[in-house]
Amino acid sequence: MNSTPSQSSNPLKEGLSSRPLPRPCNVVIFGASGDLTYRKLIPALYNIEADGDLPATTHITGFARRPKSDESFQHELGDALSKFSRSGRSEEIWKDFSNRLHYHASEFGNPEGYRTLAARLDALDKENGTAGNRLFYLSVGPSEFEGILAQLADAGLNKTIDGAWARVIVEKPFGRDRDTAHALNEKVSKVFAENDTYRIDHYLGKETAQNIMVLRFANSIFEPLWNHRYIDHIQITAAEPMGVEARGPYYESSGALRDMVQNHLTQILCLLTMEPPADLSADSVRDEKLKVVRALRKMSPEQVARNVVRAQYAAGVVGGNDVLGYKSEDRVSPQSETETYVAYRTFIDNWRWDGVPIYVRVGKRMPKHGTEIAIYFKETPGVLFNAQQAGLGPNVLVFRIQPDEGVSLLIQSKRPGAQLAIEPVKMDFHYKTSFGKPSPEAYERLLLDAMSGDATLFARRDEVDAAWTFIDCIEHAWHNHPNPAPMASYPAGSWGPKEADDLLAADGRVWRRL
Amino acid sequence: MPLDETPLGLPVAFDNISKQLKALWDSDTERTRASRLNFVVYCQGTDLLKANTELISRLVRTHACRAILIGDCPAAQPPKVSAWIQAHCHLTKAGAKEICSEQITLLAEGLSEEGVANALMSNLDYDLPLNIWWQAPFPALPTSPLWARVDRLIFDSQSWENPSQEKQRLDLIRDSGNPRMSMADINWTRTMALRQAIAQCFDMPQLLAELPLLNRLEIRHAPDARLTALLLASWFAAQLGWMFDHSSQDEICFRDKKGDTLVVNLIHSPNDSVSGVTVRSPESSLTLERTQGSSLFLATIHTASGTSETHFPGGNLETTALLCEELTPGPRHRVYQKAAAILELLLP
Repeated sequence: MNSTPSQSSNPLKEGLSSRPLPRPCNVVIFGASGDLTYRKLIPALYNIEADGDLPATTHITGFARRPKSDESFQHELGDALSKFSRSGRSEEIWKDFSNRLHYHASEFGNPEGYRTLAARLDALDKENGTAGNRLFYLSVGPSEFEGILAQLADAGLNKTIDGAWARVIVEKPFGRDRDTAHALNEKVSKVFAENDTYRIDHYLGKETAQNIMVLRFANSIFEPLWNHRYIDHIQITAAEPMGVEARGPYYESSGALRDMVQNHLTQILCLLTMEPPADLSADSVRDEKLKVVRALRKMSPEQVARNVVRAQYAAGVVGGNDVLGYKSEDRVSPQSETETYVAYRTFIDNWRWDGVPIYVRVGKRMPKHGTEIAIYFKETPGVLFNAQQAGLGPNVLVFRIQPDEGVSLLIQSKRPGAQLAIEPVKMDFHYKTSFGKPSPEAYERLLLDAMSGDATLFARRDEVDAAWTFIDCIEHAWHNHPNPAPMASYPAGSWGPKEADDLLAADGRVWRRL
Repeated sequence: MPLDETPLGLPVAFDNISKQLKALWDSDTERTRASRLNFVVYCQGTDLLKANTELISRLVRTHACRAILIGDCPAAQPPKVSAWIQAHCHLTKAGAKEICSEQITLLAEGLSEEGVANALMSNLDYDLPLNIWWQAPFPALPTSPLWARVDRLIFDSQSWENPSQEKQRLDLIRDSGNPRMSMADINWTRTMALRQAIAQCFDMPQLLAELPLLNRLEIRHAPDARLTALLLASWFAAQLGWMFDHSSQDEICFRDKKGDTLVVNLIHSPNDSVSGVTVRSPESSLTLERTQGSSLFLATIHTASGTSETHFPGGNLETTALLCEELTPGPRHRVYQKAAAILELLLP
């Protein structure tokens, strides 16, 4: 969405794409032996290449501890690509692409590894005319960030010359509370300027997430209704049938609130509720998102007890199979106080959203996989049809983020016949049905944006800080208050604890059935 | 030769099309009808009806639409309209409902332009944009009421038998008072992969520095792709500010901003469409070549610092793929308009 000066320097690029085109660069992935590289990053870069959007001289270097040759790295990635690429693997494209994949073995803390990396990147620049443009992807745990950033700085890899750029993509979690996030951001900012720092949130790369803004601001029928006068409440659900799998230790230190709410769901909520930005530049959009996060009502410990439910899954049945309870999972403490489910009621204290409750629930070991936003509009006045037939029900607009991306609208309609009977019917838009071709993976869009210098879909430092401020109130009430709200329990395979249902029942509402 | 109606689907009375379509969908709950645009294919005679039906069946996999295929036979008598309907369905995944688009085929015999327009407009899916692929010479004057309703006019300048005349008629349609209508030349899309590859090569600083120094452009093209080659040359000229000077059969001379001469050579090649391009300056050259049977272009770059080779996606020149590009909403073809203005100077 941003324009970059690079395109004006090459007049032949005019009009070739409706989006800024990336400039040739060297991509360096730290933690290149990790799952993310094999499952997401390399397939994403390959698909960008297959679509003709990856500059031909862009090279990708994996940086990791294990000794490995370029050839064996390429071979392993080739195997992974066959499994994980949405477009499969064309031998012709792969041959060219794989020649641009390199491996650099080094400990993350070894200065020599960075000195040789710098020399290698310089040589690739010279050979391929990448002009010193570099994109560093930190696909490593946060404990490694500081060391890698310091080494990058010592090796001068964060410095650029002659209009080139050096950017860093940072994976979540961005800290575990506001203080640690602040400390982490301080460390990043010492090495990379804020506008060269890309905090990735893959939810924002999904089509429906991007479509929220389009639906709101490219259609005239929704925006007039998008406020407290017409919207009764909002429900956001992120459910998954999976347990913690092999991520026990990570999850123990995180929990559902930090893992999902601080980043993904808050970002989605911002897109849904922000004011129209003045333009589509990254900062205009992020300025508006920031205002929403700042307006989220902060809760005292007592309010947390009334408005937030935390729970852990107990043993149950998912997909016809018996599954363990959370405390029995691999590398999870039997005394764990980590939530695998959280549901809360919040408010945005601004003019537009005054008094509109927003209910959010996120959980593991739910019956279905699905992330969606449901906007419940206020019911029509209690005369005419509402007087004749009780409980007509509201109009509900639903954004399905995943799976089966799409949008639906529930409206009331007369059932055919002499009697006046009214029934809800659903108008349903499915991306797959209407557009036929699969949506690009979120990482494709986000990597392309980072290479093009468009930070719109990445979180800015102040957004992250503000989101942690909101989350910290809840974490504080759970872990530092003398009378914390108890941890509820729900059987695996259910829609969560009774306490979560009670939360809505107290307002005369129920959770939406997915 | 009598018309083979088999590929056209179920014959229906013209004034019964809507009812029959409804019956088609009501009879099958296992299928989902999808439509997000009207896609009209206009051709003359009946020869292309079968091939166009096959093309529509491929196209709807990515562009769910109401397709209306019209064969226009203005000289036939007596005047009448015959109609057929059918559904094109495909599965998105195992176990899912089939996704279907509908096709209406109309054979218009002995109808005036207004009559054809009426037959077409009475069968459009309401509210959805109207995209029309015009596969025949354009009318001398844009008097048909159809032009006021078109959102996107698709044509293929490579098929023009009289390019100057077609270009003039196209300009008349463009200026006929429908500001909503956008123009989409399939021939322009045919050059897209080449233009993208060339543009990406000039991202290299060593080559970018040579852009103002270019002095020769060679375009290798199939005999029937001369207009495609001219369009590509026009794109270079428009983007780099070259002024047309003079031309002969296979050579065009431009002047660059400094007044220096640039020569464009059009070279016949046995391969499809435009198969190769070489751009030269005194110190460098870039050659892009589509290897036969490959989906990639091989780029060979010579500069003062050495020679390098790299591959680029060669694009898909199959008509359905080109149409898919045309039907994808995107920015208006501003760059095309600049190139087309220069192309006009190069047409005989």
